Amino acid sequence: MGERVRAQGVGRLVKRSSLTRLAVAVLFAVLGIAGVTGVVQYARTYWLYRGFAPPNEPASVAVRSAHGVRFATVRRGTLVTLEVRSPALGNRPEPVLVYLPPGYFGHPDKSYPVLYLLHGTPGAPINFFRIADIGVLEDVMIAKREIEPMILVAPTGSPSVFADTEWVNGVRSDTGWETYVVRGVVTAVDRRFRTIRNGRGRAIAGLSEGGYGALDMAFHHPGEFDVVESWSGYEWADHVPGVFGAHERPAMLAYDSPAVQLRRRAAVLRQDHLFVWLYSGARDPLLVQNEHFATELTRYRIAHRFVIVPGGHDWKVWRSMAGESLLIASRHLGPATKATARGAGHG
Amino acid sequence: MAEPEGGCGRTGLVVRLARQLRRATRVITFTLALLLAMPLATGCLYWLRGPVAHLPGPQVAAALLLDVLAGHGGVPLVVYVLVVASIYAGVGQLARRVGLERLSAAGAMALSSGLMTFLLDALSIYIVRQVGYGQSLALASHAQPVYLNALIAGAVGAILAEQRTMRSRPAILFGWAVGLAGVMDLASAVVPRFAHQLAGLDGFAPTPAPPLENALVVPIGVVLLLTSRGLARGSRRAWRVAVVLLAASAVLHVLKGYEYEAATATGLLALALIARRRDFASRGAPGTQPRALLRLITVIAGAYVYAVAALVIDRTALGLPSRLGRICLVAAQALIGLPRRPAAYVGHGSDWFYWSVLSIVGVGAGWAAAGWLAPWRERLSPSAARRLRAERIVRSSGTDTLAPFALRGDKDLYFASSPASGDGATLEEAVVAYRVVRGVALVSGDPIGPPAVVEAAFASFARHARERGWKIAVLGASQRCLAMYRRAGLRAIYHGDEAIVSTDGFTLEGPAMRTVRQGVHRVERAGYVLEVAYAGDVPPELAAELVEVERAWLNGSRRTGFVMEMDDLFTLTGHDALFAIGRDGDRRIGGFLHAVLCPASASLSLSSLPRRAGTPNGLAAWLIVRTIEWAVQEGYGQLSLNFTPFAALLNGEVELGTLQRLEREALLGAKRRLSLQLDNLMRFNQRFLPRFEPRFVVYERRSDLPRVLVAAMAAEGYLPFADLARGRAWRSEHQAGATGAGEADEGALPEIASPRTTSADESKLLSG
Repeated sequence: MGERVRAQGVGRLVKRSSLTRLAVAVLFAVLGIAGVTGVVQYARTYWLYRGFAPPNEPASVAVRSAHGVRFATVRRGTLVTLEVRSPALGNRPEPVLVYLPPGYFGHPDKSYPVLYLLHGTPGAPINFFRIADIGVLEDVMIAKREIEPMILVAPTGSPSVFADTEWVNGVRSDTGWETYVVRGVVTAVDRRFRTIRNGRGRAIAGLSEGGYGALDMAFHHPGEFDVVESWSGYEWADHVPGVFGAHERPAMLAYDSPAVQLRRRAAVLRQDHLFVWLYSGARDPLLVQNEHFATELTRYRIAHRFVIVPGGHDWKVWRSMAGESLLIASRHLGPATKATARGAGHG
Repeated sequence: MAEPEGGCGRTGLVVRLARQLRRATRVITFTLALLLAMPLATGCLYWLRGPVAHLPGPQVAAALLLDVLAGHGGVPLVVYVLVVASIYAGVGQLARRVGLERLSAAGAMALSSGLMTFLLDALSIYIVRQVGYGQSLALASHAQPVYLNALIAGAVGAILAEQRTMRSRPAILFGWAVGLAGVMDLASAVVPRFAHQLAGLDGFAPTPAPPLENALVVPIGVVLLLTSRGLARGSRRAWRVAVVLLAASAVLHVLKGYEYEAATATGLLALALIARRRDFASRGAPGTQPRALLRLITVIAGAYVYAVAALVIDRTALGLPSRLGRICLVAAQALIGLPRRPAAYVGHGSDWFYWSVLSIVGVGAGWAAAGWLAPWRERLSPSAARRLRAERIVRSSGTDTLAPFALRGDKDLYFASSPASGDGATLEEAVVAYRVVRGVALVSGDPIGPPAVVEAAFASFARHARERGWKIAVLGASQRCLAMYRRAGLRAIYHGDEAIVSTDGFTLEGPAMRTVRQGVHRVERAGYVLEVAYAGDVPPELAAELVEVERAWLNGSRRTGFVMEMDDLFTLTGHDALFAIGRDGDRRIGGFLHAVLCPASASLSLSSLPRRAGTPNGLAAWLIVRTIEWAVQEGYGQLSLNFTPFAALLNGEVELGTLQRLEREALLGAKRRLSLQLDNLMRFNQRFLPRFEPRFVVYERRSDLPRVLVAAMAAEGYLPFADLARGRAWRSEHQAGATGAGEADEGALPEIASPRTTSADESKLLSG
């Protein structure tokens, strides 16, 4: 241990004058406040938007055509929340976000195709709208006449943000997430909104775990969805004990692995003209699985398109590909049709 | 009475508890600050990110990791450093309040900052990239902010925390470490590393090894190598250069990407240097600054002219048009290491151009730095006034028999004065005679002056030496001053004994003096008579004769001596030196004794004893005996004969300890093998029944001893190429000039006999 000596250098400056001390105290207080508020804001904007700018709907967009550039007004769609109860989840209410395209209320005679969007883990339905700006994208693309109007439905796929359900029917009671979506949500949406109520008018897409869930549901329920999109998804079930049980159940894992189901159900899927669209980031660890799956799709002659995009397994990729996914869904589902008899709710 | 005591006890307990509580509160606050500083800095950076986005300069790519995907996670380096440093300045203040020492504070702050950033970054990567825990941690370990924050926080801690007196750590370790860092820099530039193993890291680190950063590492490495020598000497300038370059090198390693080990090592070294800045107090040599600047300007101008000429020649040879303005711009860019972009002008395959320009600048920077950091060399030019001052002090206060040797022409003189005791008006002055040999200030004998001033003078000299980065060693220190040296933090090692004959009561009678008596009688029978003359009374003809005798005596061998011999027969004039000359029956000089006078202690010191060949055996003894007789008449109480290294060890009559016996055996072994005359000199001295005064070598650290030994041997002239080892300008103006009689032929200056020569001859003389 040494003996203390007088303050030296910079420290002495700080120590000597009370005015300097006050100035330093104020400076640190300012820094402290800026730091606390900054870090809160930093975390909040990440939580809400993953660091991207919040969605900003333009009033109009430039549309290029053979006749030159014209400006088209962008009309806003409407985001509504639906509460769906399903016996598969013990009849507890689960929120479902529904985006009704611009013009939905102005055309009560029309039935719209629906794109179901399954989020990843951790994640929430709102992420599609806040981070991927999918609502704004649809409005803009409709204004540009790049896509036909469609209803976007984003159900909640887990009891909490960090809970993992894999979108499958788990072994425990009241965890039938697959049944909840395919039966509960689809039925509720069809009942409440003017939708095309068959597989021809339905597409299902999801990112990461949602992509896996979308493939799983589409393969388990041939004819329910005409198009399935897997955004950086996977095709082999992960043995998540909370979902598939503490002890591995090979039969259950095989049932919930689209890669396995493809071999078993290829004929039916072909017959139903299912179109599979999937992509994976070039640096995504799941790329290999997807490449292999795409090869299998070719082998079993399932109509599909596989794209390798720059990037990894993150929102930058999903954000940049959101427009493309709308385009694919729109092209395969076609335009809104004349409404059928039981148009209800907001219709 | 019991109650108040109990009350006091309780009060004391309360006070102690309150003090401990305060301390605990400070420690907790400091710990909390360590944990929260990084998140707070991140918060500040978040607000600043937008307004400063346009600032030029390098960017910290992953300053705000959560926003990396969105493409705005970067912050300009300068803003980043400012914000993090400001936040940690607060933590540094708390470290002061806790009472943490600089190095500890730097370590704690660097470690906590690095660790917190690492954990936060790992968490952010886990969230943003959606990869596993392991991969997140692996990626976080390569994130720039982890290392930058540790470096900045550590530097702030090292600057702001408390300085405490601690046992000084050897600066030489820092010298070695910085040298190693320089080598590492060079190696990292020569062996570029690639980032293939971290392919999943885009956006978190810059492109590996951008050319500018890679190229800049080379001159930095070169200059770091050059500073290592200065750091080992405790040079402040070397410290400044090293800290700036190490910090720059650490940042460059981080910016280069994937060189975090090197960044960590150089960063930590910079922190340690900042924390131990008090160890580097020695000022640079005055006058070197303009020289270094001139060198730098010369090199830059030269490199620029070269660059312009090379471009013009290259383009002319290729038959391309040369636009002077453009060429000047490209040359200027190449000078500051901005290659590649203007490469279009120089053409493909023209790396040689940029490398050659940068090499010239690098070598030139090294050259300039070498000049600036060069050890402080003292040019020896004692003015006549300074010499007169020293002579006055030696005459009035030089009681030590070695004091007159301080006036040798090859020593520099350091004066220190203080008010005389009881009289504030007059100043008392002391002088320290020394010579710097390869960074060691060899002090010749004890400081000379009034006892009240000597200690302060020596302390002042020690400061003077340390400021210049010199090690201090006192040769021929007396036992009387050992306590003073120890108080100054120096150590002493026994060196040998000085043989001093007391003139009072000296007699040739008795069996012990038989050998001397025989020698004296032999010389008397040969008709020798003594002639004594003060140096100032020697006529030119006699001076020439004395010089001639000495020259013949030396027989072309090298002049040696530093502490206990004069450099020249006539350095001391007037009544400061005397010659006891022995003339034979033909009035021819057979030999003479050159002694210096210490009026303050009424003593004489033998400087040299040259004799002609063929003179009778015993002439040396006769000269000494007759000089003693003269001294008795003139009132001089003692004659210092000579210095015998390790006399106490070689004297078989004294009982020795085990270690001393081993030393004695080693010395005698060395004597036999190298034909040294160690104990013969002692035996010669013993004939005159002298008393022995121990002399010591005083030094700073044990690790300095080898340097001190080499410097001392060089100063005494025992090493081959001694003049080279002693450094430039060893010879004084006095020596090179013509103060002595008959010194016109400078190349044939007389030289003083070496003790070895003397002793060999004496032994022969006495055995006869």
